[in-house]
Amino acid sequence: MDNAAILLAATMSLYCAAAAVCLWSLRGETDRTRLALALAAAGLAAHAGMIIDRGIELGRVPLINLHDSVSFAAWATMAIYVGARRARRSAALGAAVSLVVLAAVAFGSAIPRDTNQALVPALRSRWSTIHVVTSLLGYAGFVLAFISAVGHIAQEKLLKAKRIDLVQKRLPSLDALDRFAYSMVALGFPMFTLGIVTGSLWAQSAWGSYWSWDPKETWSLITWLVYAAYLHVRILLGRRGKPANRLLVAGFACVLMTYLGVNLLAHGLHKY
Amino acid sequence: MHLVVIGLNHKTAPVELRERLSIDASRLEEALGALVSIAAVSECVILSTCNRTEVYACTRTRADDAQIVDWIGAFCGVPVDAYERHLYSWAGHKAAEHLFRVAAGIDSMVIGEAQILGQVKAAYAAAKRAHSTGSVLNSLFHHAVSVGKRVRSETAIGRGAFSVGSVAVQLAESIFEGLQGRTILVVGAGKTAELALTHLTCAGAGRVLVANRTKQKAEALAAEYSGLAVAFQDIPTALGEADIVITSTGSTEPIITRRMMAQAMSARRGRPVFLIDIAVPRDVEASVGELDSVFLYNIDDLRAVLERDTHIRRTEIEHAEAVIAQELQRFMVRYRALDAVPVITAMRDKFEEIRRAELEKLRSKLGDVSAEQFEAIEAATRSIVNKICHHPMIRIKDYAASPDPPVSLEQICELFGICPGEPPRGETGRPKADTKGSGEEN
Repeated sequence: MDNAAILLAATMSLYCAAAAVCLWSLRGETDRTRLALALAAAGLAAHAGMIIDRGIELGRVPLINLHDSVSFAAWATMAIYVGARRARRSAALGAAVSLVVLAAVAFGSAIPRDTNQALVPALRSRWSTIHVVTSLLGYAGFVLAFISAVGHIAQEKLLKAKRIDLVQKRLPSLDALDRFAYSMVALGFPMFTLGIVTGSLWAQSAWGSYWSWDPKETWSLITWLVYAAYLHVRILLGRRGKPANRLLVAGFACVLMTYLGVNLLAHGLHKY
Repeated sequence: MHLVVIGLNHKTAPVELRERLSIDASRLEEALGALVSIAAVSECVILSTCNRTEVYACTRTRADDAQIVDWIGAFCGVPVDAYERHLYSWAGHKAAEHLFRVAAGIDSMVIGEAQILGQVKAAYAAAKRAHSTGSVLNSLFHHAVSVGKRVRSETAIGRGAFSVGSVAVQLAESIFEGLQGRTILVVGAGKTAELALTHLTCAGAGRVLVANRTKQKAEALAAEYSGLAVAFQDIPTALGEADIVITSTGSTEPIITRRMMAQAMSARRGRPVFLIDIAVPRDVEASVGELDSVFLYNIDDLRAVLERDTHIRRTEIEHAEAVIAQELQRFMVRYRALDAVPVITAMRDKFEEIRRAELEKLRSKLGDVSAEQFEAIEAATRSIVNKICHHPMIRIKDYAASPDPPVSLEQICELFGICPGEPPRGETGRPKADTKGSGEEN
């Protein structure tokens, strides 16, 4: 086994262990979220090693295709979650995040790595790395906001249905979920905006046009508008609760479309 | 020696009958005195709460149970036919297990409730004062109290939601992140509402607003929680500020309508609100609960949560059962060992009798001996008896304590030609206190 395979196995098994520990504490009385957090942090280290290893192999920032970008997005998601103080103590959120990240790493590793891709001269620009990194950080924030919003909607449903069982007790309070989702969008939205701006600067230097209504561009604009609407509802109208959290679910559907759907359904200028 | 519990509880008897057969604390010592004066009853404790009346007693044989059954009715003035079929009676280790389950709170109406342990302690204390306990019930109740304490500290059985108040706090905490600084609005007043309010403020809720049709009542309650009295017509405004609302008025018309709440919600900008409607008929229109971010629970919903928690507590009950089994085993060792006491006494009595008789014969044969010399002979014979008795005594104790002895106590009695039980206790006519004491001496 080469380094990459070993690191991938370590990463996945550590994330898997973190998810298992979270699920375990969901069931029982004992709270093991600290252990889960430690496992997740170890997983992050292995994951970072994997990304660096890939970078050494390529001799550049390892973000040349979907394989690399999914891996980086998953790493960023986990890193933000582990770093976020407020969400730390919830086994339910921890389990959801670990499972989503685990799935993303599995998905990314299944995509061919094609090391031999040299960049087309047209795409060489100092904006490229910044564009990709900021966009992916934006996605990471949106994924976490989505998970929290799903938790909020579930918690609200359970409270309305008057179903007070273990699941409902394990979920953080509505308040905490609402605030966590908001802070994730507050982090993701500026990143995503920056991604769009640097993207259009890159497009200008590569093709001489800031915006060309490429499908990816169109969908990222739609995504941006949905999250802008969320922030508008939250900040300007000061409204929380169901409508705001539903917007986050819709926003995440747009993220999936922008990030993955466009590449599967249409062919544009974006490689991924 | 026969340990028995005879009684009825909320599972076997309707409340009217339980009321008629309950023995008030003020009459308890009188009752214990009357019960222990029955010749067959050597020890007794009476546990009488609103959910149960139980007599724990030590009698000579199983046949004496009927006397206790009759006594209960006679003392409470209820004919035997009225309650006999509602009674349960357990003997020996079943009786001990029953008391341990009661003390653990497993036999209670609200499983795991803590009050019962205090009641068990009080029942035992009353019996101690009435001098109606002896070695068996002393040991039994000490073990029962330690079962109660262990179950409370080693299992989570007591940590569930027991009251409407604690359910309210749990629910509030799954809506709000911490109750600090939250505003509570109380509309109307009532015991349950106040209980819920106490729980919520204990959990950290901050400001309290009180609305009542009677101004003095509102002000009195507000003063108690250093809150603010609000006029009844200002409820719509107060709703805009309150995070938690408790209603319990006697009004037949709803106090909080859907329109009123919808307006309040737009003032709250979708911040969630938790409504607890304790009143019957309800104070809050049911459709209020359909509004976004409004969580409306009425008294039946809260009770349903209490019920559901009972299910969750099942696993804790299993833990409690394990504790009970352990303590039961410990108690039974001591309980069975108590059976050895009359056998040992009878054996010693028999040897002592032989010694005395032989010594008498010797004295007439010896003729002239000094007091000192005779004293020496006395001491030597006593020592012989003690030494002969020593090993059998230890074995009898061991065999009695063992659930599966190689030799039964009956066989031992046959071997030594003794028949304990009747002669030392009944025939000699010693006062009961002595008999009871003998258990502790050995």
